[in-house]
Amino acid sequence: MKVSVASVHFPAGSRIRIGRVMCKAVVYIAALFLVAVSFSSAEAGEANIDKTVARWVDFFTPSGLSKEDAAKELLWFHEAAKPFEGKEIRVAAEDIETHYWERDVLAQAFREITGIAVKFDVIPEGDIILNITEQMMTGRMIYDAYVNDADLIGTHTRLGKVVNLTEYMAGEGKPYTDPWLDLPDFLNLEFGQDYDGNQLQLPDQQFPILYWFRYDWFNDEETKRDFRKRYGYELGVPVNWSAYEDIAEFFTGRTMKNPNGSTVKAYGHLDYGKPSPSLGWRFTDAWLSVAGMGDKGLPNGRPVDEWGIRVEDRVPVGSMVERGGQLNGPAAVYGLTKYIEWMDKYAPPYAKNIEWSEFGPIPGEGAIAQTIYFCGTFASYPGYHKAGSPVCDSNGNPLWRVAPQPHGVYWEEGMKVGYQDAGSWTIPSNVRGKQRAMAWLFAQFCVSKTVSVKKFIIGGTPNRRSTVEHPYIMKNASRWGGLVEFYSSRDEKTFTGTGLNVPNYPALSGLWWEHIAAAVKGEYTPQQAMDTLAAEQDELMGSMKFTRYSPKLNPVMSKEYWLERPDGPKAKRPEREKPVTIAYDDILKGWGMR
Amino acid sequence: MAATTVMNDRSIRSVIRIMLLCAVICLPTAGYADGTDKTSVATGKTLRLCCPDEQWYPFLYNEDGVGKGMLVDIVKKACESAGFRVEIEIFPINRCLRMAEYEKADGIIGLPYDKKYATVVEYPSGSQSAAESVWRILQIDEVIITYRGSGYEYAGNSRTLPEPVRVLQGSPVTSELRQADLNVEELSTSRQLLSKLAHDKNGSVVTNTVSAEQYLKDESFSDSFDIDPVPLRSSSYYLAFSWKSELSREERAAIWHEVRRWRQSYAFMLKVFSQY
Repeated sequence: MKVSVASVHFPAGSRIRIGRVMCKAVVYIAALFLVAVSFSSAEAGEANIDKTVARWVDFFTPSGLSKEDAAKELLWFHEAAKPFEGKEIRVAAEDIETHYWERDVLAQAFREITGIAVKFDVIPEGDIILNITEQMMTGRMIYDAYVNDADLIGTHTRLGKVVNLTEYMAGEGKPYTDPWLDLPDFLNLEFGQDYDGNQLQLPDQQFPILYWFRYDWFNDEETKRDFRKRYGYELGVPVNWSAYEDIAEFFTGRTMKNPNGSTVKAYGHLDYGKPSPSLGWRFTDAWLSVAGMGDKGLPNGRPVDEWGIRVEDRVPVGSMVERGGQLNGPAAVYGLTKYIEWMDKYAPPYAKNIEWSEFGPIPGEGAIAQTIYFCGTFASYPGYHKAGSPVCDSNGNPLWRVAPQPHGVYWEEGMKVGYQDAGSWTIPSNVRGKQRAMAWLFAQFCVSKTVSVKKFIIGGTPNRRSTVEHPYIMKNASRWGGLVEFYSSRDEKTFTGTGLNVPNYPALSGLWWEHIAAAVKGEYTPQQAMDTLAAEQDELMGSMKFTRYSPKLNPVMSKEYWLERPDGPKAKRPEREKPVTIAYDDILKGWGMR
Repeated sequence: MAATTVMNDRSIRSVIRIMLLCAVICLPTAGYADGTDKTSVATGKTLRLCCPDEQWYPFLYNEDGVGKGMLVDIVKKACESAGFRVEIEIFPINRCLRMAEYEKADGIIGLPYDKKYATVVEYPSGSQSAAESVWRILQIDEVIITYRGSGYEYAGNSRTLPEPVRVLQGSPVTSELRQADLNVEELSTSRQLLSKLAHDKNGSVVTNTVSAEQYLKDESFSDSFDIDPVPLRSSSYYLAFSWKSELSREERAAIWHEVRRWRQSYAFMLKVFSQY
């Protein structure tokens, strides 16, 4: 069932991805080879452990710990793992740069320091979800640990089939819990907590969904003048969808120059629409709340969240408007309509035939002026920080920036501003005894203060506050095009995850992409797609049985009944509002930077 | 000369038939199945399937005389999308086998490969040797439960299992354990297995992981047992067809293909898992 990166059938753009992976692999292997040549006798043996640790401390510099403390932390791993020397664990994580590095470098370091071998599979996120679900539901022993998005926290809270790390750290796992773990230092630790604050998932890497644009093009005097002349306001970061549309229209077909000398016919928008699980999370990663569906409240709207699910006392009661939800309400239909319309009008023709993993590098190829969907993990692709790239200067400094996504007409102050999530270490409860202890040790190793700064430099996905505030990172913040500023800002807390409301993320998310794909293909109107999605989501939620917080559906009433209620869905609004833009430097000031 | 021509035509037809069969079996299903109902063989026939009467939640179980569980859900979906109506009856495994033998059932849901069964029912090709068959309905692990404090750790050698080894009657693991010269005790329900272990405070129980987890949560057994983290074995469970069923080879292959396709369907499987 697992689909490796190399075996996925990619259409256009596939070679870029595979080539990139191979390039990275060569770099990692070369780095490891150099380390190995210098320390060829670096087995986990006692005689060499100090040398082994010293070597890895050097390798992990810059680090969140002083060299002395980093050595102490690595020696602690060596001591704690002694009972398990020579054993093996299996873990899985999704196919992003951070996890390739964990597989190729951290697993090797862990083996040398602890004597524990880690078979680390990097597989598509859809397969992560299928495997962990199969393991939880059939008890089959597939992996000892997963890096599983905290999107599933509502599922884990209700199913009770993953290790409660809070209890584990206080009890059986105490001897294997890193004294330098420092949980308060983690960014958004709450993403992995149940209603009672128990840690079920430990963040490994975080990524927001942001707006991405060509800072150089947006500051080009001729371009700015032309835009002002045509639209009557300043070209800048769009605050609302009306401005985004204008900018998309303006750039589409316009001839633009890149700093590497190439000239392109630009596109004002990029998105992806190929039927695949990733099309589902294009929407479930809070797109509909960016449109304005749902209610005010953090981390998720109350009583209706960004999945359109109405929740009362932790119990989901419906997604259909007819049950008090909003998934087929005017705001949700508007969100889907604009997604399709923009892809038709302003995106390259191939956009409908690509999926998430193919989308990522494309803005870095120099023909895209802006995209409303940019996952933070994409920034680790070489095109975004390599000298000679169409979107970087001659030193490799990015000429692109990220900013909050603009909002649709239904969005109101007090709602979540955007989405971010944390790929988080998750140990199924059927992983027991020594296997559990080894999995926990490796998970902590991957998020340790010793390695976290280096990991961020490689993958651009932080897990600790001390990482984004590290002097080395602050000094070099411009390399990440605004990501560091974002993580350092107070606004970061208004970007939240899926949260606890979604009772079974794997099953429900599986419904989304099929319906959205039908709308993209024109088989359904947006209203039909959202009507059937909402009905099926309710039907599925209604059939779920959990020991706690199990969905209990409201009776079906007329749409009018709910639309007239003050806590009901927002009624249909005019879709065009006064376009508003903001200068990027003003966003940074708002984030407390510069 | 004419005879040679006929022979050649027959040979060609045979080759075409084999190629068609291979095409059905080997249709690529890389990536995610799209979850749509595609009818491979739209015969409209009714299949009579027997579901072993096991209390083996969530895989197979008897709910008010109706066979239910994940294995049933997947098989029903596969048969229906292959164009068959399905009638499922629930009986003890031995009766299911007799029904298959005497043409009262076209197939049995949820059988692991067993040489004895294979004389009565046909498994998909390669089932005999596959650790994880592509034609399985599901893969299910069996684990070892010991009395807490026994200190036993399974390291891959089944001969070391604490005796007596208690298993459910008819469990396919029994013959394997007996071949390892172990003292095997067969009991009729999972609860009896665990009660005996709790009472005798020695030996071990071999059962599937879901049952093991459930009993671990049972207050009457609280803190009595340890489940070994390393599975004793992992087996593929199949839809096996009676050798005497009127189903053609192409129809059998088409249904197995559908089982595989639906098991690989992201949305469908997540929906199945969410029901238990």
